[in-house]
Parts: sequence; structure tokens; C-alpha cells
Amino acid sequence: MFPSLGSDEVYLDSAAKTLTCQPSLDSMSEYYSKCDVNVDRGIYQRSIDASIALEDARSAVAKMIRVQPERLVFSSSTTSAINTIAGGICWRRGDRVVTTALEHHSNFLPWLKLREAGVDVVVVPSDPEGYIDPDQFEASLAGARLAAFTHASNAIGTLQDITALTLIARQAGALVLIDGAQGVSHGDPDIGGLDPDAYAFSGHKCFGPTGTGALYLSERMLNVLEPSVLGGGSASDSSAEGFTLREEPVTARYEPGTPNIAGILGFGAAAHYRASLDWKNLTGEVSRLLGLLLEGLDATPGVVVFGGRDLSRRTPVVSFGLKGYTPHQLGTLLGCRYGIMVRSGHHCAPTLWKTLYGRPEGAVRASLHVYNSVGDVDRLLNALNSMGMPR
Amino acid sequence: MRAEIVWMGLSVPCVVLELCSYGASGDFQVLPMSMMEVPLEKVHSSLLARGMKAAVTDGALLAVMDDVQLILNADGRAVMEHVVPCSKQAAWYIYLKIMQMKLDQA
Repeated sequence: MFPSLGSDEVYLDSAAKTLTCQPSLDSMSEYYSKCDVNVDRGIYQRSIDASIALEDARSAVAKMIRVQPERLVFSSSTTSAINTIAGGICWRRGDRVVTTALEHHSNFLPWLKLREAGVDVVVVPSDPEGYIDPDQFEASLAGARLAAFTHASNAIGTLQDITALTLIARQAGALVLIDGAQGVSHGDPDIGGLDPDAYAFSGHKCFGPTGTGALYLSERMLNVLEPSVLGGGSASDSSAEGFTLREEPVTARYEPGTPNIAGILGFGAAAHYRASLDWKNLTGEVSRLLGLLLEGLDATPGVVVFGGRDLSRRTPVVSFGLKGYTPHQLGTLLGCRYGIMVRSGHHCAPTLWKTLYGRPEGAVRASLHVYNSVGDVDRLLNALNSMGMPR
Repeated sequence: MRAEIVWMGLSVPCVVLELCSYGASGDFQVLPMSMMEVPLEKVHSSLLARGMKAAVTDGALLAVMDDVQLILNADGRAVMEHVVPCSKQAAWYIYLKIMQMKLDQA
């Protein structure tokens, strides 16, 4: 089902990109080999079929987070989705945005940039285990226009209480944007029930292709969000005097130009595939592997693990260090010598590493998913045990 | 960045890639585009003879040179951390210094 995975390889970098599933590959290949036409407003059958297939993909992806497809906009990534929000709200000098020190750059830099426009950007620190402290969060929200926070840290795997945080922000009158890149990858969030104002996630973290992402928009957000990129499909009419933004479907305003059709179809196929799995059982098994990994890391001399240990509040993303090695040295050795693919560095979250751990260089990150096994965990632990101190 | 090193009389094209940037310093990777065989023990001895910290472990050489942390594989691949200034050129220069130390000794 995941044809790129070699038999002797251990892939522990799903937090960067999950492996692409066969149905996703098939649908992308089929689009180019059998369809290969543009969507939207074509009057020949092939274009109509492609348009229907794209909307089916929208429905499948929307179903993943339990929202209505009419509120789901496709993007090229979580980063681009978040930038759609940052660039689409009409900011005023003195507006306040609240974000956190745990954020990936994609949900951090767009807000810091707003300081140039006179927006007050507050960065809430986390607690020592890597969780956003609700009291500190609440205290920072006075007069906030937007709160932007992560569903789960990509660096240390800590799963945030998005229900509590959304409620707090809503009570403070702020719009709520959640970076769901890691949250959707490993969980089953009911975003329709929670109804934040925006929820962004990536196709390539859900067994789909790179170059795809999705953004849920609430009614409240749709009322204030202007499209920051305009082009084909954005307007229902235009003339030398001006243009009228499209009303139906409203999501079309935020999807200008020819979309990544094959990618979106691949994303949709991945969503269908995921829906066919016994997700609760599979993620339960991954959680068991996580427990074994954490136990094994704790028992390995010289290893330090970052982030809280409560499995119910963690995704299977684990960052760790080994005494005597820098993160890149450790990552390089694990890859070259032991065939274990991990990622090393600050994982686009340098603020987290500096504020929580005083480690700007970050750590090695191993991330598990449904295609990993006990054997993979054992291989990593055995490799770390045999490495020991450099002589 | 593309560069070339002369190794054992042959020109080996290399690629220098940036891994992480910390503003004033950065982490970089050097990837030779053709086969190289680096005698790590000899490079190790050469670095120790120059008063540098170095160790060979699991088929790789770890070293510290002017605050730069280095890992060098036998196939010539290297990762350098905390290179100052944060530039591929600076990283390449350090790589050349490490590799040419072995040549010097030979």
C-alpha cells in the first residue's frame, strides 16, 4: 500500500511527510494518463468529469475533519493556507495577534511579519513540558483579533487542548486559527464540531502528495477574509472599472487560477483510503509503538527525550538527543550506518528549542505512523545502544 | 552551490547544501557527486596531530575544528555545524581544509 518503502529501510520521518499511499498514486497517474484536462467551466465531458472528481476530492477531504465541503478551500500546503489568512484580513495598527512559542515557522513568521504594519503580536510561552498554558493564553488575549496556535507540536509531539484554547479565545472575542498539520496526520479531529475560524492542514501529511493542503473557514472568517491572491475563477465579472468577486461557491475566491488538479485528486484518494481504515485501531497501535519507543529511549544511556510523557497528550513524534553527538551527527549516522531515516535540527521551530530547552541546534526527531512496526522501533533503539560515546 | 575537489589526482564535483541557519552561523552538508574513498583513520590522526578534537565511530569521523562540529563519512559526505559566517562558501572552505590535511600528510 506504500510502495516507496524499501524492505530494509526504516522510515521515521512521517512528521515531515507521510508516505504516499497507492490509491493516491493511482489517481494522480490516472488523471494525467486518461483525463489530463482543466477543470471548472469546461463544456466537454472530460472537463466536466474532472470537475466532478475534484469536488468529490473536496468532499472526501472535508469529511476527514468533519466539515462541510463548501467551507473547505484547497491550498498548496498548510503554510500557504495560513498565509491566506494572514494576508487576507484587513489589519489595523494596534490590532493584536496571539500566537505561541511552540509554533512551526509557518504559523509564526506570518504573524511576526505583521509587526511591520503596527500589529501587536504576543508570543505565549509554553509550560516546561511543551503545552500551552491556558491561564497565560487567556491573559494574553485581551483585545486580540486573532489567536493562532498549533494542534500538535511538530518538534516534540505535544498535543494541545484545542477545545479549551478555542473556547478561551472565542470568549475573548478573537478569531481562532489552528495549525492542524500534525493534528490531522495522527488524529481524528472533529473540526466541524469545534468550529474554529480556520483550520489548516497538508495532504502530504495524510498519505497524499506534496503541493496540497486544505483550509477550513468558518462563517465568521468568510465575512472578514479577503482573497490575497486573485486570478482566474476569482471574479464573476470584471471590466476596466473593476471586478465582482465570485459569490458561489465562496471557496472559489480563495482558489484562483488552475489548481493542482492531480495533487488534489491524490489528496482526495488518500482521504478515501484513510476513511477505509480502522483508524482508531491503527492509531492505537501506533500509540503502543510510541510507548515502547519512549520506554526504550529512557532506558538507553546518554539519551535525553524532549516533551511530556503522557501518551494521551502526545502524537507519535519524538525528539531526542544522544550524549556526545550533535543532532546532525546523530541523524547522519542513523541514516548512513543504520538505514534509519530521521530528521535533525530545529524542525522549523527554533523558538521552541531556544525558549524551552536552550538548544538552538534542536534534536533528532523520529516520527511513527501506521506503516511502522515494533521491528522499526527495535532497530532505532539497538542503533542508539550500539553507538554509545565516540571513541 | 557546486564545487570541485581534487582527490587522489581526480576532480570530484561536489554539491554544498544548507541544512539550518541560525542567523550568524549555519549547518551545511557537502555531497560528492562521484565515488570518493576517504581513509578516516588517517584523517583522524592528521587532525589529532594538529591539536583538534576528533574521534572515529561507526564508520564516521567526528571532529571539532574552530568551533565547527563536523561529521565526515568514508564516502566523502560531510555535515558541518555552526559554520561562521553562515554561507556555503565558508562551509566549503572548511571541508577543503579538512580533506587537504590528509593530502598534506600523504
